[in-house]
Amino acid sequence: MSGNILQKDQSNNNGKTVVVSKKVKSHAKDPFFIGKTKAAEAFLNKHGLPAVFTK
Amino acid sequence: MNSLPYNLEVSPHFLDFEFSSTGPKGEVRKIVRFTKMKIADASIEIYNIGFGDYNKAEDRIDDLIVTDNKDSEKVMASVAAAVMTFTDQRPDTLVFAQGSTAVRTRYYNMVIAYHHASIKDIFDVWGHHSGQWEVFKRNKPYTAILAKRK
Repeated sequence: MSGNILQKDQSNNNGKTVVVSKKVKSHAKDPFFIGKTKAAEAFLNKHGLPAVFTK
Repeated sequence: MNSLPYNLEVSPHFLDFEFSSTGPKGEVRKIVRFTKMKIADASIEIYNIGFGDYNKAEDRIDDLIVTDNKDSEKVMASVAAAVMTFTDQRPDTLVFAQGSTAVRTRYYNMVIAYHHASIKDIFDVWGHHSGQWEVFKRNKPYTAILAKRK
């Protein structure tokens, strides 16, 4: 691997690397992401969070 | 290898990102989604990052397929760009990441470890190991990752 994973390229400097678009549809109700999120919730509810983030 | 990200498109609420991987296997549409989670006793909002290939023929997302488009570092840089953009919008949230397989999780660990010098200036990162969260250290086999903008 080379370079900095967080570095910005030339197009980023021109504001083009990330473009806001209404054509990007929401996947909020996609079964794939719902399943992944439930698994992640189960993991964190079982193992907890770093103490600094708990009430 | 080139670690510059692909151009990304993001939905107006900054939760859904898309970009196209191009290589020997052609063009593959990639989807990155941040989903808010319900975690007991959490004092902070937490989002899960999900990531996969869009299978147009079957109209579904797959994160077990091995695309092999010879651009894995560029893809990871693109996912990192999505995380940066998402946390630009929501700096006071935690992002949770876990690979779909142990191999993928190890790969994410390697990527974070390799870029740790630059990441740690921008993010606080924790890894889950042996039943506990700890501040991310290189070369430890974490099973899950949490990150928050500094």
